Amino acid sequence: MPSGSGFLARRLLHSLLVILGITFVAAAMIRLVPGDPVDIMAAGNPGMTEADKDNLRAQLGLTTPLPQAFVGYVANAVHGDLGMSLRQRAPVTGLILERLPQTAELSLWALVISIAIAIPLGTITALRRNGVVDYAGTTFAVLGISTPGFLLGILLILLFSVELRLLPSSGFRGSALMAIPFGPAAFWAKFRYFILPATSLAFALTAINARLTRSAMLEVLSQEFVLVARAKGLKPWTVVVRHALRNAIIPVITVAGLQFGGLLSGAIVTETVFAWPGVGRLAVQAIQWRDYPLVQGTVLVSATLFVALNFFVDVLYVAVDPRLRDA
Amino acid sequence: MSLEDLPPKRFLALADDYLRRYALSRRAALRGALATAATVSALGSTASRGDTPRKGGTLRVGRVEEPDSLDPHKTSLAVASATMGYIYESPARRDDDGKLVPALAEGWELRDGNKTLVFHLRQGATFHDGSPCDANACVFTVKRMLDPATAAPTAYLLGAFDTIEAIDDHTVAYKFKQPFVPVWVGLTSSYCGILPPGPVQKLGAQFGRNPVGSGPFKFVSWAPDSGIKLARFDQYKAGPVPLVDALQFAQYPEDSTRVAALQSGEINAIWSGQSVPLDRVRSLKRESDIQVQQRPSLSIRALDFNESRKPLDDIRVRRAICHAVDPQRVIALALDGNANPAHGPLPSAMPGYDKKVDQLAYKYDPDQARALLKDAGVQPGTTLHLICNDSPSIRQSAEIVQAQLKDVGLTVTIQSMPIGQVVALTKKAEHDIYLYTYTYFDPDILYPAFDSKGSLNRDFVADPDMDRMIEASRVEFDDAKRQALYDTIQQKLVEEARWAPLFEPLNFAAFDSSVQGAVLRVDGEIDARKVWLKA
Amino acid sequence: MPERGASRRGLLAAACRSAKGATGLLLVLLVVAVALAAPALAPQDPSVQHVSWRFLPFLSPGHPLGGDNLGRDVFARVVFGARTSIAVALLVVGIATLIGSLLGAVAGYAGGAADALTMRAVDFMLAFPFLLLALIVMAVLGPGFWTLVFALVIASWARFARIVRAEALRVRRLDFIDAARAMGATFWRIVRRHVLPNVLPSMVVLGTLEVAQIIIAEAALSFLGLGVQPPTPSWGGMISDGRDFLADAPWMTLGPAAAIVLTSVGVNLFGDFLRDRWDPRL
Repeated sequence: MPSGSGFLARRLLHSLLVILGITFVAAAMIRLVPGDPVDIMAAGNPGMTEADKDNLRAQLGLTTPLPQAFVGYVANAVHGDLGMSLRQRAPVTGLILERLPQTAELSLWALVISIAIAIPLGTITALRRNGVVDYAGTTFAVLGISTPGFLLGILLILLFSVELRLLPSSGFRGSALMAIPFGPAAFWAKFRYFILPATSLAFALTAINARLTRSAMLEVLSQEFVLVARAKGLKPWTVVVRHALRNAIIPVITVAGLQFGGLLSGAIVTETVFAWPGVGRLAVQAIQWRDYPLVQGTVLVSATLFVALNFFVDVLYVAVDPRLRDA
Repeated sequence: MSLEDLPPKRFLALADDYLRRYALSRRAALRGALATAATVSALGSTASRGDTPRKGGTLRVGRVEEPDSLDPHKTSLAVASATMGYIYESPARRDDDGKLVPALAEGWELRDGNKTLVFHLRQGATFHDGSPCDANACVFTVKRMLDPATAAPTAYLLGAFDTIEAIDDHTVAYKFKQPFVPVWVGLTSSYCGILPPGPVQKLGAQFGRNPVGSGPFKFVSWAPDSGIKLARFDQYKAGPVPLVDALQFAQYPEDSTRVAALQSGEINAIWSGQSVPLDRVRSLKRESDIQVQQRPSLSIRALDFNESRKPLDDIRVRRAICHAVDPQRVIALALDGNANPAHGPLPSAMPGYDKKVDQLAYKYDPDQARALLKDAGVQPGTTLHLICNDSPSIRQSAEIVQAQLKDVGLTVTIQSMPIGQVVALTKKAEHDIYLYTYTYFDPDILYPAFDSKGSLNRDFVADPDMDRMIEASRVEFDDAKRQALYDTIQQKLVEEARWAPLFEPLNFAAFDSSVQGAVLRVDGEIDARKVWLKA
Repeated sequence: MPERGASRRGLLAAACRSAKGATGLLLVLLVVAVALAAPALAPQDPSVQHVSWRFLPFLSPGHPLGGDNLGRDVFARVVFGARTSIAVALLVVGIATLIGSLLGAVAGYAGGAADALTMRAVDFMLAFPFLLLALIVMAVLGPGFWTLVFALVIASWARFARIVRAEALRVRRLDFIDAARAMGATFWRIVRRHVLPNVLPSMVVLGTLEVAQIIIAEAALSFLGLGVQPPTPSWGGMISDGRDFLADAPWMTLGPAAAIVLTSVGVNLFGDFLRDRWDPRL
């Protein structure tokens, strides 16, 4: 059996290879898309001749072959330099760092909302298995996974902003987390902007998490220690909250951690609907513009975050259960 | 008569005329919409009678796109150009109708056989940081624009540029290698706005995110949370000082959200490009507290046939398609009535348009279409591949065309894609029919679109006769002779059914009831210097 | 562990006895029937446009779900849209399950280099931001039905592979596998006869639950302009097209949205039922 540090090193190496591979594939694929960055620039400028375009290609360094360009890219990326955006003509690292916090905080609030709803919902449906509550809960959960995110988002905007004028339709006005120390009013001023997008993002997650909680609860409830606790005459709710829920919640939180990694790139639709200045929209824009360094940068960063979160979860698991090491 | 021998006055008139036509149409050429000078009086402005303009307030504008950079030498994006027009000042500007008006320069003259344009700059004009906006700044700006290290995508606007020279602090000479008729196209655009040497050198790559100019609004911030914020520049010299305190641009990529933001009062206005969704014009017009302005544009949407492939190399098949498609139906269904039908290769408001094509145009007649197809031996169910861009109105137009061609027995497969792929794939002739979308300022579009050497030619026809006429029209300075050439070209193009014209789009802007003094310009933008907000 | 053979034989009967299973099965059968019988059910061709049908409201005579902005019958489009949406979902889930279970089973059972290679590929796919991958794939290949299926398969096979592999690892340790190996069964025979049948229940459950997600993913891709190409109607595409008309013509959206919800409810109820019966751990 390999040692703990050997396991870590191996996993780390695998993770690095995966990230490098993903970035290379993205870099190669975006170059296969018909129309290069200069074609896109010229699409709005009919005065530009083919000669003008070729000049610009040379000036922008688009004539370097991919393998050579990629080696240079990786060498710089190691130092945190992801190159210059071809369209925004600014360092990619800065552009991503400017957008990443918004996506991260939106994802965070979406997870908070989803867990706050999913755990009670999942618990109740598990306890009242096949009862009316279970049906209602399942229906709600199914609605959650069967409503396209953009439709829900637009409906929320029409209802809460246009009709009721309760919440802003869209946009971001600063971090709500950072505003917490300044009191409820300051927090609310920022948080209002998170409510609709986070809710629309949370809806689908809630469904999945409620399901997970329900399964986990069902499994825990059938285990011996719960039966013993019940037999000892503890109140059913005490059993559920003190014993069952505490055990059932672990897989849910784990999955939520992984969802967070997925949300960073999965929030594209929500960011578009709510005019949210996040990294997902930056990536979509980069693809439309064939901004090669920016496409590579956004893919690299979201893959890294995903892999890092997975890695973290895996390491935690192994720390808890060494038997998993050779799995 | 060569251009060098023209009296400078004639040359300026020629250049001015060129600019007017350009400005009428200036917008993202393939996709945007060009405006015509036709009926501005019928449109009026948002000003209501009896109100006096008032200073103050923030004008908040929602747009579909966001600039990539606000460095005039680092972008070629229409929305960036429009935004930079508020921050930077160019030697001259265009008014709402596209006419040339002085800006940083209060006057100019041509010298040296029309090859040198000398500007007399206004006294006392400064940049937002207080440094003087003078001849040295002009020299710095042009040199930077032409420096290969800058890689300015719009450097082509200066044409065959020779050199720039400061004659004194307020006189500067732009020297061209030969007389350059389209000179004003560049020199009135914000891409040629004058830059302050100090901040540009100090900020380096950051300048595009922290622009400094000498235009009516100074840059305040550009952040993910608030979009682009500009404030009135009180020392503005080149025109009327703005009335509003601040101007704010936010990007709303989703149409529904942008309209909701206007309805809920989060923004005051929507304009620029495709920012007012066509599908929402009708409902916006119905709302009492929303004002909608519209203006014809100088663009065309048409079906372009790839004649390098069967069966569209057969004129009977092309004519059949022209007869089978009813533009009125496309306009009514796909555009909710928000466009005018097109008849020939040029939009009807473009100078050089030949009225005769109205009569020559193919009438909607499906029976005739079926007969022609039968005659040409085209089997019912023959499949044609149509490529178009992915804007909703274009894709829906393609769907109407598809249904109408199905009516006469042709099966159409549609592929709608982002404009970049459309341009690249149609260049490789991967289409039978291309839903062509051009926006241009001059009948000279005939060259790129229909000459066999044209960069936008997508029908792949090599007709030496046509090439000869088009090329002759480009060097013909006699108006009547040039028009005669244009007429023949247009008639020939229609007779040969080189493409099936569909419609000429309209430009739109929408405001809430507080916005006053706004006039939709020919290019679909708004001159924010004149806008004020009711208390 | 439940007796799987027995439970599969009695599956239909069991489904009919359980309210969940019965409702789910009924809804699924209904949607599949609608998709199959689309031409008979829809009074109109879904791509025929009539100026007079434009924006016809709900419950108009002959047009129960109204007309859309291009003057087409929404009911006909919902019915024919079932074909597209169901076809996409079934193809994607089918192909992804096939690839996923084969790779997962082989990797899990064989271990070693095959396992390492498969798992790196799985890690790779899972870490690649899905929508970005789809956007790029669609841009390279050009949008269309098969590109859509391809992009969605690429995005989902890895999840199946991972779960099947875990299951295969578990199966490998079971005694009867050792016995089979001792009796000289070949690698492929063991995979075919023992590993695959054992992972099947998990696959079916996972696959059912995936169906709804694929239908939604199709909607998201349509929203981003990457759906099936016109005039083929799909539920996601219809919702995406209708979103600008939510205030003026909500029926353009409500019809297909209701169809997605019904399908999803059906598939999920049935999936839940299967899971409760076969595999309570999922």
